[in-house]
Amino acid sequence: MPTRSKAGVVLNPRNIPKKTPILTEGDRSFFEGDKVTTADLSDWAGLVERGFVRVI
Amino acid sequence: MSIKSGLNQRFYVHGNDLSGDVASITTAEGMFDEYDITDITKVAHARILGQASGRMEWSSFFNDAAGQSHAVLSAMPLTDVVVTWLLGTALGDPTFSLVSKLASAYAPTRARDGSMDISARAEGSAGAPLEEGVALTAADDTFSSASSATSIDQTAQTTLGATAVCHVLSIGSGTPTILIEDSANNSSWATLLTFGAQAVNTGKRVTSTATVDRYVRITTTGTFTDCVVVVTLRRGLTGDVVDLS
Repeated sequence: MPTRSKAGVVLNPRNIPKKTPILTEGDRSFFEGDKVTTADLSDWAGLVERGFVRVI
Repeated sequence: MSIKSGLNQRFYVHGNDLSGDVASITTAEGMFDEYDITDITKVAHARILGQASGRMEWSSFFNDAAGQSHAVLSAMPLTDVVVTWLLGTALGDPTFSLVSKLASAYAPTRARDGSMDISARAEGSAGAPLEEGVALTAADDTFSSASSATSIDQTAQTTLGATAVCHVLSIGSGTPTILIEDSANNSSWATLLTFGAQAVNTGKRVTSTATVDRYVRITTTGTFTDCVVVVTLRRGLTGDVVDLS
């Protein structure tokens, strides 16, 4: 089933200090302002819903 | 979950592992002041609850090695001291933690048979009661470099915040930052709490008002070697004295 990837930007809803990763997936870390896609995060929908990712 | 004995437990005082010195834990108590509000229409006492607090009391053997009972307790710190009791050594085992003043930090006794004991008492001091939680480390965990520990599955998301306690027992070199992460699917992780770059032989309590997802784990970041930590987490519950939601 083909899917179209979506892009987003990482937000910081929990006010995590700078230089601390907001999200991690496997060995990869994502910081506030990082660009991510649906391929980067397995819980894309959940993270968008909870305000960690804003779809762009 | 089942009925358990008190065997194979651990006890930490502000980043120091006193488990090998502690002979008994005589009190781990969360309590309230209570005010009698019985009016003349009542035939039995009516009471309301006042301020909450906590208390832990324990007895240690005399051990004058570095970082053990004599050195840690005789220092009689004037600042807050984090005390944690692990009721087991597995991930997810129950814990009790208290941010406290060592109200009776150092009371050694020598009995006629020659035995020596140190009794100590910690009274809650940070506006929080004794806090029951779960261990996110298997007793203590050693991180040889930045990495994530095994997660625990707490079955469901909760929405009433969380408190966590971290003891840093030792660091080989460098400056680790210790985080707690949560996840809905055990794969995508979000930072829930950070203890920052915590110094060795310190304890720290942090709080979050965030929704906490089903899975939780510890992650360390930064450049360092051999960081030994103990971390416990408590999810906020309905009816908590301190509402974190």
